[in-house]
Amino acid sequence: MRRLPRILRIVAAAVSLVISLSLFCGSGVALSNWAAFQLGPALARLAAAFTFGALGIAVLILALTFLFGRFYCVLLCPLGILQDLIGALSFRKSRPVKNFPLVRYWVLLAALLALALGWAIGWRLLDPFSEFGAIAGGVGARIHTALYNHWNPETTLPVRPGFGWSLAAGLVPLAILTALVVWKKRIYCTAVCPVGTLLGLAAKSGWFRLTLDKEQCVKCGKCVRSCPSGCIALAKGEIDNERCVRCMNCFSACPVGAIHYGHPAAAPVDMDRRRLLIGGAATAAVTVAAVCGFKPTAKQAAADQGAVYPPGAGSAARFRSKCTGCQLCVVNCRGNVLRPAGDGADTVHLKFDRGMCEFNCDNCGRVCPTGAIVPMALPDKRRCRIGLAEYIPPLCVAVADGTDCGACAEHCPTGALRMEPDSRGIRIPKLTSELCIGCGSCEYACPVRPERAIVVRPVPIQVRSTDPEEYFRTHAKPAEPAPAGDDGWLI
Amino acid sequence: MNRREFLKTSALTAVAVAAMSKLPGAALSAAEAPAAGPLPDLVAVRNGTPAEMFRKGIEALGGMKAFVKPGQKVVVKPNIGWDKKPEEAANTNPELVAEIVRQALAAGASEVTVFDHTCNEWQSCYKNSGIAAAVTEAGGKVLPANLKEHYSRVERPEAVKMKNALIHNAILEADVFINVPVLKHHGGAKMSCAMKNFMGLVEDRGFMHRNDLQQCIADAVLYRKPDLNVVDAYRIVTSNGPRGVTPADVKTPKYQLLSRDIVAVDTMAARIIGFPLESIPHLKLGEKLGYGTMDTAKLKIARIDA
Repeated sequence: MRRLPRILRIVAAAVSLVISLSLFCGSGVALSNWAAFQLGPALARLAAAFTFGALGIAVLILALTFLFGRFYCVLLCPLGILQDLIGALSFRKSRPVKNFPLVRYWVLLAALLALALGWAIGWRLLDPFSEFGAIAGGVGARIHTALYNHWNPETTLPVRPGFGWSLAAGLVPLAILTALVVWKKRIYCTAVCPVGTLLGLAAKSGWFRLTLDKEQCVKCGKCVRSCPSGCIALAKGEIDNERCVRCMNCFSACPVGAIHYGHPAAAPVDMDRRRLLIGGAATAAVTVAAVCGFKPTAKQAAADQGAVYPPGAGSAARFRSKCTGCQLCVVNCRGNVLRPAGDGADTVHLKFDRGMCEFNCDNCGRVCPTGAIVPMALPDKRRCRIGLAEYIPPLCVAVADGTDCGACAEHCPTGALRMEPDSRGIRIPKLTSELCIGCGSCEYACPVRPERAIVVRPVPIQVRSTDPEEYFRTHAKPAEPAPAGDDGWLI
Repeated sequence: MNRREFLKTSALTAVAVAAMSKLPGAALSAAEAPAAGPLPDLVAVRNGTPAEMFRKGIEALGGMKAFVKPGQKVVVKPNIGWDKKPEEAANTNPELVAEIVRQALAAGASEVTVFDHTCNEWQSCYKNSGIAAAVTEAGGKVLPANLKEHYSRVERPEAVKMKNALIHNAILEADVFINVPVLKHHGGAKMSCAMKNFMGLVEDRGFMHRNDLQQCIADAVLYRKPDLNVVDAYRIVTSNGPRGVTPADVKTPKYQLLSRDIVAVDTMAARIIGFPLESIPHLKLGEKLGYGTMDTAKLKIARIDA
């Protein structure tokens, strides 16, 4: 019976990891509520687009952690479960790990400051869900797409571009994580992860704790060798509930039943308050200085100006300060236009070489777990201007060759581009900018190479475009069908 | 309906019913059909549902058995270009496509496939046009057309501009090709109908746009002459085509045209939508390539009220 908690934990974790992977393998929209229960993104959402829902989720997770401990880390956190999986595959026994309380408190402080002050990169590098996203989106989703397309040649998934870069962005964290796990199991979770540290603070003096009964203990060390957090001090007969992730391995491993889970009487050990305060103040100062001192170089600034961001991003500055780069939007983009950081911009952005921002798709806003892409109802998304088309007549086929083309106008979903005869009677594109939403349909469709005759330029801030129905009610009269003949037939 | 029309339709119906029956030799007698006089070159049907109009129209042309022989592979090529709902009229009516699939299978087709090289993301187009579900329910099979590997290189030296092209494999493999466009306004080509629908067989549409679109549309028909063209003009986009922007762009004339002659059927379609023929240069270019006529006065045309 003592084995049951561990077995249940492993089964639940396996299901959870599959669901989290599915988020990045084509089911992001259907499972977006799952991502909402990730604490890291929920905290980011509090800073990016405050909702009481996100606050409720954060409070709920912390309250449950206070009551029962850091079950979140073994059941919900996909990066944590991935580490357990790597750990199991490494076949190495666990050893006690030194406690680094000050390191993790300072990291937590730095991460929260980065979040609050709008330096998303700082948060992105530490937040477990964003790291998992880099791995699942950059490596996992690619493997899934390749296998799926191999077995389902008639319903292929879109192949995401930027193979090398995005693969590296996933492989590097995966390699670092693997090295850490092989070295000291969940040391990331107990010494670095800001989400884990926050949960640890909730669990430290929590209601239910794991305790070691010194009277019963035979000092066989089986618990220590099974503990991924390395938080069991056998000599002292103590389990550090702050670092314990409730994998229940020790509980199952103990041959004499000396490990108990319940409400204890003993009070936890106190921290060295002075060191904590001094270190905290120093970290705060360094973080604030780093954030304030973080000024993009001229090249970076130019790249950001040259990027189009997803509908709901607001502006380059806002989006950069809120997006944690988890890639959930990238791998769920129907038009295959969202690209991860790199490729000319240091955050998620759009490129129109493989498709257009699909008019009827609002996946990115629906899957974004941090609120960096503010979710919009589809009618609002359809009028959210993320860029502005610029027509370059000398490059245009219709102007240069005098032949019909109309690829841009054909694809334009809002009527911003229509073909109208010029002085020679050639139908050329006419751009009505107030209707343009910058979806890139025209740029994608334009057949002119290497430079296209119509391109989407970034806008400084996303605004609402003119309502096409309103516009065409007042500006254009749709053509009527030819009048009927005497017998009522049109032909 | 006057008496002459009534008699004419009844006679045609009788022939078609005979053709559809399982009597041996029925199809033969329908195809020759000397009793009813020569079959029309073009049939115009109006004022019915898309499926009803097709049933009347194909009867008038001698029934589906005149086009599909038992065991043949049939490909039906509607317009599924856009992620739009049926009532937005940017794609061919799904009921019409389903009825064609059903009739082709009833005529003994070994398989009926349906595809289009879409403009929007293809799975949204197939799904939201209603065509994937309608075709599957009717017993047909929808094929993807989103990857280069779905196409093969074909050469046509007689073409003026597009002398070789990647053409969808389903078209190259089929015994019977039924072209089922929806009639629409089109910003670039002026009108999108039977000839323009050929852009959905071609992998590199950009080439066509770059190299004299009107000529390339005319050239595209050389790659596989359709055995039958069925023009869906039940709902049509008359402005802001081919996608349509507002509901005001859509009109409902409730027409359907059927003919083997792709130029003739497009010429008649231009009259339904009310565009001058000279504003649609690919009609004349198609006629020049010799696979059809714009001189509809010389054709035998049947007009049927469904």
